[in-house]
Amino acid sequence: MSFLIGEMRKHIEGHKDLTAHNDILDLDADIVSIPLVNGAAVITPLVKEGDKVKIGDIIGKRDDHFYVPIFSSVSGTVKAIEKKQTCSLRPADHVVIENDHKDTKAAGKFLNEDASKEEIVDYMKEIGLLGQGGAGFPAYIKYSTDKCETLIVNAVECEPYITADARTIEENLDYLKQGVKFALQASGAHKAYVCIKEYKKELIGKLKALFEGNQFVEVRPVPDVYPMGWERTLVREVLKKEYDKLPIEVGAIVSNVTTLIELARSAKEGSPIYQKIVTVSGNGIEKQHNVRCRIGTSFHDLVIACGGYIEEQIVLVAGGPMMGMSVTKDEVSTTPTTNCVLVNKYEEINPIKCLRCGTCSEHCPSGLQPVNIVTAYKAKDKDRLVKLKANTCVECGMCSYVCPSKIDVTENVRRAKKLVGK
Amino acid sequence: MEIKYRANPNARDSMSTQKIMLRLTIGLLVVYAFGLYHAFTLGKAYLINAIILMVVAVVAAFATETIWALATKEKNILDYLMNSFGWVTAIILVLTVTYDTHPYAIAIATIIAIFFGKLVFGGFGQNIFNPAGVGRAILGTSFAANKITDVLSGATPANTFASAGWLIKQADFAVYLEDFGGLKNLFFGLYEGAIGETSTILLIAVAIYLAITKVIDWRVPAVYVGVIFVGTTLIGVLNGIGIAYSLAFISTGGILFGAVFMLTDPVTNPNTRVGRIIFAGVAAILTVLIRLFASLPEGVVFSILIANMLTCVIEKITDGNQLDNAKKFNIVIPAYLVVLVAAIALCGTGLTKNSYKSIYALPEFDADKRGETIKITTEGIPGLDDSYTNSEVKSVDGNTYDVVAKGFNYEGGKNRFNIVVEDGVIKSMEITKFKDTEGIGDKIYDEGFLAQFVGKGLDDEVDTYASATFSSYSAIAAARRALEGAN
Repeated sequence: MSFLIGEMRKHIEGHKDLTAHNDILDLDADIVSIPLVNGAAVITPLVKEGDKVKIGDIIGKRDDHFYVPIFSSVSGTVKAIEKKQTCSLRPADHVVIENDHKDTKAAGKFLNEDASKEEIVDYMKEIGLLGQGGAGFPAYIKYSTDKCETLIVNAVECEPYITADARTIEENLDYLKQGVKFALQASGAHKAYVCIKEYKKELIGKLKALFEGNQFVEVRPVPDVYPMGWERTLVREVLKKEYDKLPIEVGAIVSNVTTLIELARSAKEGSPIYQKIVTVSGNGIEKQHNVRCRIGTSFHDLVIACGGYIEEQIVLVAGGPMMGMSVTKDEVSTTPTTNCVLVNKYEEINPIKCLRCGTCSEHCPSGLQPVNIVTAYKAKDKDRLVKLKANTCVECGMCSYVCPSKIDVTENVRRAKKLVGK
Repeated sequence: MEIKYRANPNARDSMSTQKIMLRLTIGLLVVYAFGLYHAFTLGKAYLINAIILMVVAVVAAFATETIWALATKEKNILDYLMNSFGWVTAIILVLTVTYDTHPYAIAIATIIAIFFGKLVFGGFGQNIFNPAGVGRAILGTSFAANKITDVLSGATPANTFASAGWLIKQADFAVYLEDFGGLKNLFFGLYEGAIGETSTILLIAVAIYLAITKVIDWRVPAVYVGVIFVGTTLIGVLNGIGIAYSLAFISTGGILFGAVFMLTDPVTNPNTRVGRIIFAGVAAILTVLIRLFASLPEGVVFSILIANMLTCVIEKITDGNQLDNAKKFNIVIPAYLVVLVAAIALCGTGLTKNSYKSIYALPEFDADKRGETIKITTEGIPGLDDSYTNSEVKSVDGNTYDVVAKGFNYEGGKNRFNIVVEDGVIKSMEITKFKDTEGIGDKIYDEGFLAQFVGKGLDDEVDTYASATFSSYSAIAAARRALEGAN
């Protein structure tokens, strides 16, 4: 294979030491603004100004073809429903809640440790469990299948800078064990691979000890390359299989490790996700830390908790540097799927002409040919874009990253996708 | 504090096009350094010319691009020049010409290469043809005769192989190889040829460096040279020459240089692995076809330019998801390579086996033209004694003797010879004035007759030319005079 096709992945500088060993800060913000969004869907609020809410109260609900409830992450008073910028730059309604710091919880929603498949899937739906890897796909949909043979627990965390998953694992080993048990039960898989980058020796040791004697679970070290944590790349690595749209086509479900930990934690504590560990890193802030914060904490509060900005011009990214979206206001607040806030010094990038070297094609994890997609886009050649399958790009950022001429390839491919979409 | 927007990703690899071009330049300069050493062994004039050629070409490249930048109103001319990489074209071009190339020829070729080969297409990254290839083609077709001197024989392994029809009889093949220092020297590279093309070993080493540092895709030279090598090995085996044939075939001319530096040009070759393999295969078969059947001495440059033309077609074939392509081409590519190799072997059956005489071989003095065999110092033959008595060394210039000797027609004047003596033997001999009977005695102009004196000393024997005995005596007497003069 490698004679005819590129490696489709690449080791990239991780910058993980910035936060890997620093203390986890606890931030209990006075005000949280919970965005009423789930993917591209807009959610209507179920509370109004002045309402008293508790942790776990439903404050909004997505109710189209997916059911996704949004919960309050603090106890306190709803101050307003406000339009603010979200992680995707699109403005959306936010429920602004003043935190009374009493942490009063709504009536608990618990799940028995030996629950059945149906019970677990229903529970996932009830607690609005979203994939914690970043895309935020509702977990109950993923597990509503009987074709699953292999469960892949994704603890790869291939985006640079982010250490939130690793820290979450370290803090919640017992929940991970129970989460994997739930996931095996819910998926019907007979084998689970817990995938983690091979250089994390210490954590691998802990995981191996955790699953010692469990014949259904295997800790599987994977290479330190990007985008190792992407479903397609991970399935390719672990199962040596390709699929068209979803991993279930080859009998696999890929679940982020934090998703499973949160499932087990919710089941025991009775409350859906209301806080999580977010990596706040980059060279544009004073100190880099993982911060345990409520859903809806503004990036501004997170940055202040980490000593504030230290550069005049910065790029503020919701997520890691590769796929995270650049936002233009620090009023943006965390969602249940936010795992990183990156603050980097803004540095000019000077592109030169494309030399058609094909490095982007060599590394595209989807096997696309970004250089030709960009050429076809510039020629507005829709037929060729369709032939080149431009719309299957997941915007992982690899093509721009590797481009020796520093061209914004990903951005051009994104535009090409829009052109084809029309 | 200002929050700037930048679409993802917000990280970039440290590899840059500038670094790629720097490494490529280093590779080229290593090859050039060997060329300078080689020029030094040939003589000072060549060393100086090799340096002049490089200076002229690089200056011409920068001058052409500067004028273009001014004409197209580029804002930052220095940036434009540094990101247009014109010097790479200039260096490649210099490395593909011989040491005796006239500087003005390289200047014109460089200007054409940069202007018509690159700038008119829109500059770096936009050109269809390898610019250096364009320049080399122009140079080869239009300025081939413009040489600074005539001292180099011009007999390169490639054009000697070519004039032997690219197939030499098994028995003569060793003679051909020996003319250029054997296979060993063909690989090492101290033989007449283009400045950067002679050393196969060095080019392979540089190719490995460039492949490891990700400057070139190793598949391109591997497929190109590999297909030619395997195909011509079959020709060699079928004709009893064996692997020596294909080793000579790939190490002569510009195959290795073109494979490493021109065929790998990312701008003008396809941008996927599958595409580049198809591309290199096309160039390989074209190189062999041109070599074996066209009147050009070399096939490399034109095969590259033609393959360049096919790049966009090849990219059409490979458009789509590469994973799908890999599945599709998994069988197609090996089959394609086998077909190419077979086609080359088939081409070989169209060749005739030619005999080969060493380019250093002296002209033969045919047996039926020979008269009596006598020692140079023989005395007692009246005519020869007469010639010797009536001969004298007119002048000596170093080890070159200007000698006159009586022939058949003494009344009309003596025959005159220019004889070079070295270490007690004759190195060369020519007739400068002939006074005997036209149509009879002038047979001693026969190259074979004169060539028999080469390597002869006072104790050796030579043959007279039958029916031109007295004219032959004058030559023998003159040779004796010169040899005696040198003792």
